[in-house]
Amino acid sequence: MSFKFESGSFRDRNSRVFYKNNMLFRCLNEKALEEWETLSSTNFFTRFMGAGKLIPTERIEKPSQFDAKLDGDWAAILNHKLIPFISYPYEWPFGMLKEAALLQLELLIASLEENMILKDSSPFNFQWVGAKPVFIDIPSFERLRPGEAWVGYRQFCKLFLYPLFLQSYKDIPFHPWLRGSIDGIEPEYCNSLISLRDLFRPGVFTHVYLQHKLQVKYANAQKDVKGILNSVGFNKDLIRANVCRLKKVVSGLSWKRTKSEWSHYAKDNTYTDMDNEKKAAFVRSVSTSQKWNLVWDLGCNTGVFSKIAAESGSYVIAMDADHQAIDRLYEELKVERNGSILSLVNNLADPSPNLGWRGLERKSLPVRGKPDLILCLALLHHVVITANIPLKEFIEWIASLGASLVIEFVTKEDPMVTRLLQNKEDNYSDYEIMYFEQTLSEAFDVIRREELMFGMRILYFARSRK
Amino acid sequence: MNIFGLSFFLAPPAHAYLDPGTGSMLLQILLGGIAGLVVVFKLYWHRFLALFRKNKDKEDNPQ
Repeated sequence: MSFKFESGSFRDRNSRVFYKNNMLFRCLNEKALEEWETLSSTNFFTRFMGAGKLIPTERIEKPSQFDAKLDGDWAAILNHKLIPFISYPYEWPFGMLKEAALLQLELLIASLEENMILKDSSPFNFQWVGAKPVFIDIPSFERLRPGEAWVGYRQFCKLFLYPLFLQSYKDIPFHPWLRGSIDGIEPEYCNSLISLRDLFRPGVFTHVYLQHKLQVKYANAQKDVKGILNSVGFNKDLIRANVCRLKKVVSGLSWKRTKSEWSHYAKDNTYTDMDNEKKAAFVRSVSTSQKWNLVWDLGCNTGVFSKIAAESGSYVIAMDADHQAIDRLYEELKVERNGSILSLVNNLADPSPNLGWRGLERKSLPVRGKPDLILCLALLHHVVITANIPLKEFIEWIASLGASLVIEFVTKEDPMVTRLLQNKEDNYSDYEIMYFEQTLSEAFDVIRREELMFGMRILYFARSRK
Repeated sequence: MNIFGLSFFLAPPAHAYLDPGTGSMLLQILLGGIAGLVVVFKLYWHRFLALFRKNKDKEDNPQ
């Protein structure tokens, strides 16, 4: 029986990835093996791996154990450490895309010193362990051939720089763009978006405007001009100069923090101190009651409950549709060098779908790792009233994940909900406590129930029946 | 006959699966600062020399 290669790993013809026994392996052909041998003997490789910025990788001594079962002729096999939970750039807050861009440039500078280069520049080559970025695409490193250009520059602009510019300079979140356009933002479109004012912002005139104009001018002159450029010869210094220049531009980017509805939740919230403590204690008692490997904190907002769940050793995916809240959470986690909480932007009403070739390259959330515990605190009213999702369907979706659940029901008398219903007609007859409890019991075994705020907010812990 | 001559086509084969974009490559040279100037100089030096080669051919073959 042959192993199946990972469906998202096919663009590079020189290596393919597969899983066996909960481990990740990569096959290399002759060409890729040569590059690996050079790479593994460099200093920067050891340094970056030691710092946790490159995925821990080693060559398998006895690849023959796999021979009979793999399709194709491979020269060597590598073993990569597994990432706890895969995520994609269209789920990352601004700060995470910026951090990955900086690491990409840092790796370029370091590899150039030892005559290697990264052949592509894609945020999809990065994953995270908590708030720490890790470069995973080992075969992307190649020996630098004399005179060779930095081929990945344009891709860097399309997938890193322009999305960051969009959010930093124009306050447009890059996520729909990266989710919808697998190759990123074209120079042409980025150029159409920029105003005269933007031309004066760092990096815009050169990397957007000039690049677009030159691209148009030389679009049909490909063969001759490329030949000349290659023979004239790029050199290391030229590439390094450009990479350093980009590093400076990216370092200076920040996202003007617009006030979002929930990012000040912790300050403005209507919970009393006593109720906050009760809620925290409830979550803590559940999270310490047994070992939960993977926890999803849906609508995590400030991440306070994610942090509680992470205390007992779980890996936590902290998700919220609010970019601002997630970006703030990420900045906090980054400072702590947190390795247990992954902060992602995701709208539960429209979560990340299967994307790419055959819908297998980028995977939807549950496919990447089903949680064993879900926290759904102060969220349900948003799902039902704001997003108009029927309560029963939401509970069924949660149940389908097979996880146990901590969920909070906020009644219609509560100010949080009355605010939502202010400008809407109340068609939400399903958003009602008896119906909720009944629906919950049909799908789960309700173990605990606790009231807060004089009964206006109720917490439940429910075990999965699966 | 191409005025730039055959030597310009002994470029190293493109290994990358990505198309780097001609305009993007040119931009890198422009942005490359001093390193870029050297490259630009070499580029025009070759063209400059090639002009002389073209004229010499015309003199040898009056048709």
